[in-house]
Amino acid sequence: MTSEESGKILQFLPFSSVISSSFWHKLTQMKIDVYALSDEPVDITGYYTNQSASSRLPACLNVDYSSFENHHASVVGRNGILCQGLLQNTNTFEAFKDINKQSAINKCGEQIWNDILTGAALLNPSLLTRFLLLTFADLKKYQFYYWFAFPTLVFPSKIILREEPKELDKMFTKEELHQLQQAYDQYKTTCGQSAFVVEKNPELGFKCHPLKELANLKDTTWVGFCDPSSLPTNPGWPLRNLLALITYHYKERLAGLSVLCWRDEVRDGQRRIGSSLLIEIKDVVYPTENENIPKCLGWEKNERGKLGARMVNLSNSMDPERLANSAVDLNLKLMKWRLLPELNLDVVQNTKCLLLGAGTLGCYVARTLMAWGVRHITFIDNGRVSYSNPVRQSLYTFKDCLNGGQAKAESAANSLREIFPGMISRGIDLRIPMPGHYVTDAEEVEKDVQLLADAINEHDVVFLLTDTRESRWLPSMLSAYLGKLVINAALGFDTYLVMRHGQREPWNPGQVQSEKSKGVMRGALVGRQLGCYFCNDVVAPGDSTKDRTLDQQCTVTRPGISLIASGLAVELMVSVLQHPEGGNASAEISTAAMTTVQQHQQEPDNKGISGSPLGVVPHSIRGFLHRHQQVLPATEAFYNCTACSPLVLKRYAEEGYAFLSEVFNNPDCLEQVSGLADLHKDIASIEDWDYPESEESND
Amino acid sequence: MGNITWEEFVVGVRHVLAVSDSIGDGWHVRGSLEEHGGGYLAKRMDYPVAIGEPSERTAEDATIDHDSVTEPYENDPCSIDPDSSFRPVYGEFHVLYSLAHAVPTLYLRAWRRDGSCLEAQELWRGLTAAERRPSSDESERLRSLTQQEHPFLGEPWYHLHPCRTADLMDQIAGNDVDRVDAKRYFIRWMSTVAPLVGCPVSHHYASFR
Ligand SMILES: [Zn+2]
Repeated sequence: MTSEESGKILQFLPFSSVISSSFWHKLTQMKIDVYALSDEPVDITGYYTNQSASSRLPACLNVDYSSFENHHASVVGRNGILCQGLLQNTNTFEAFKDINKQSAINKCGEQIWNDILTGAALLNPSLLTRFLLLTFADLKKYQFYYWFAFPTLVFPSKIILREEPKELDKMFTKEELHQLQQAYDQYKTTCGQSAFVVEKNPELGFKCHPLKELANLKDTTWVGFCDPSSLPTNPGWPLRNLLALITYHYKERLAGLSVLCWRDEVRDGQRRIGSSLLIEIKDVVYPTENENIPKCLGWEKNERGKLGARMVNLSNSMDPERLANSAVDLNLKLMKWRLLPELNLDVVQNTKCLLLGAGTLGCYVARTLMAWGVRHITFIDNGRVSYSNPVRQSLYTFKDCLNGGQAKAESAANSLREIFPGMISRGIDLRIPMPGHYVTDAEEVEKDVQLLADAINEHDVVFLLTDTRESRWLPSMLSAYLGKLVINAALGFDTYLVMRHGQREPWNPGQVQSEKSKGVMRGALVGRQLGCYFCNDVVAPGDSTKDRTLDQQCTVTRPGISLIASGLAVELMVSVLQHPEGGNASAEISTAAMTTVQQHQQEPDNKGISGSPLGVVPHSIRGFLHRHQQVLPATEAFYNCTACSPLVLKRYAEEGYAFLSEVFNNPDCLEQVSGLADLHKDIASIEDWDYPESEESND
Repeated sequence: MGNITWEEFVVGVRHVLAVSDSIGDGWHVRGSLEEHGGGYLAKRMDYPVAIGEPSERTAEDATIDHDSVTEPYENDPCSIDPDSSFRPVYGEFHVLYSLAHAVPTLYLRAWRRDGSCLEAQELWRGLTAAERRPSSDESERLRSLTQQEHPFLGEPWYHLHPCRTADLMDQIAGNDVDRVDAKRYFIRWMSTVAPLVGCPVSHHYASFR
């Protein structure tokens, strides 16, 4: 061991395994289609390069989708240097653990040693660089356990260097390097093996030969190999077995032998060979044990620096549900990235929406919400799917109508999850109690009220999509009481109304005093000053009677109307959510209906009203299809509104269900409570409470 | 000419291969160019930057440490440990011919060394940071990645949607008086699009002989 003291021991940089995601995809496919339950080792290939782009990259041994194709690992290709591997995929985790790692690697070592003894490796040095890969694929969890080994023979046991390895740059002129590069290129095109001999002739310069020529070349010669390492002091792993080969066949040449660690990089389109190393061997130390076959080692250390397996979870790229999720998100992000960097998609995705009504509007609203990335949707409806429904109501099909029809709310919720498994959807079969609908089973109705109040409380936005006016009263009142954002859509034959209710804080007694109407006629109203569906009708008697009761004229509508209104309803919600003020976003009392997002962005200071990144946030949108016209009126909350008046809310706060029960049995009491009765007796519209039902859903 | 035929695409691919071979740039062909739409151009890139978090680990992982493995040379004096302070990321770029749009299309994917994929946003930040490209609005738009099943591999990859490519190529060719041949078209497209996602295109490709 005296030689050790006077020289440096050569240390090799092991391979670092790099698995392309496509390798796991292909392995999964092979496991299912080909291997099935077989755990016999199979041949695969991997590759490495000597073209590392940075010294911070490890010496990679790569496997990918092409690893399973039939290759002959012998030549240096465009894609790198191929090497043979053995894959053993076990059926259970236990089997994976129980494989005797030492005997597995020894077996591979024997093979290498045999190729050395027979001289096969002299003719084809790629036989020296092999790998083992143990895997266990848990395909249910998309988890893959794996462990690589890069078998290397401990022969000799130590290499002593004469001096530190040197970079070619520091030893040769540009011209000399260029000549060496040409010599290598010539060799590569004719022979192309990953190890070779370099002859340095004082007159003719460099020339590269196949490895087996080492025996015939006596002058200044180097042994070269394609070096995956890019470290300035250490060669890569393939040299170890190559030196075992040379030691076995040319023991006498070892002392004083120079080894060229050939590194052939391309940086910025420039080829660089100057960081290749030249190593001069001073002496070697042989193993003390006298065994037939040298020891073999090379199991890869895991990320904690221990000899152990690794595990990777690929549910991100393999689980179809997660793929659907990320594809949906990505599609929305596209809009953000391309057009609206200010867009906050998370706030939309995290909004919980309650849809009252699972009819035509409910189905389209749900679909549009889904398209915006909303994940949490609950339907309330007490109807069943009937034969006329599927053609207009986009979440149902013919089979939902059979046997008396599925419950609509539940069926719509299921349908959402079928369309996109990422949905958190629920259906509540519930009849919404209504003013003027005499209560026969008080206990039942009280339960329904509670169920509805709880549902509203658990969601962020309430969509009023039922087809009668009176069914909107209770949810309007409860949402005002609970301070939720309400989006309302109602249809006429060829007209529609989409509006947001003015959103206030959850009920507090102070509201009775503070929210008196101000009689604002111009400019803008902030969100909490805006009216609800019931305010508007009463406050704006100037509207034609026809438009006022849009939803009641006729439940037969032009089929496109519900799509338009549903789309607007969801877009209105999103605009509110995107507005910095949220539900308190101001609405102009009169806004030019034709302002596009682009125009809006060009005038960010749009008359003092800040829009959302998506543009203005109107209070209501009234459309008239026969004229293809749309207007955006905003109206102030009516202090004596039957649904959102602080007087009504106060009464509900104090009496709870007792008050509601009174309303259900006698709607006139609402007039008393809201103070309407004291106002003009001109309020004929209240009689509309008793408007007869005739709906497309069967409730 | 915003569009190219498959035959013109092949001319472009062969040009890239020839130049790549001469400068060792690593582009190669997978599949067959002899068959209509049957092959594509591929390149691997390695990035030493530490981007993204390591893939999820579960508690189970701890149970498979195999400390019981009896390798006699656990402390092998003749090897050194790889530098663990960098978490390399590997990217692969594929140039496919889009039959529907009659333009080249760039597919890409990036993964960590255990094969777990980078999400689009990481991909973005990482690859382009590595390239340090100045970004303009237009390039932001072009970089819009969507997830798409790789037509040859059947796996989810990212791609730059080809719907704008023809327009882009028309724009680029707009003031050009030279005849734009297939090679030029291909190289112009590549040098416009590939660097946006972290795949540099050497100036060598722009010299035509
Ligand atoms: Zn009101």
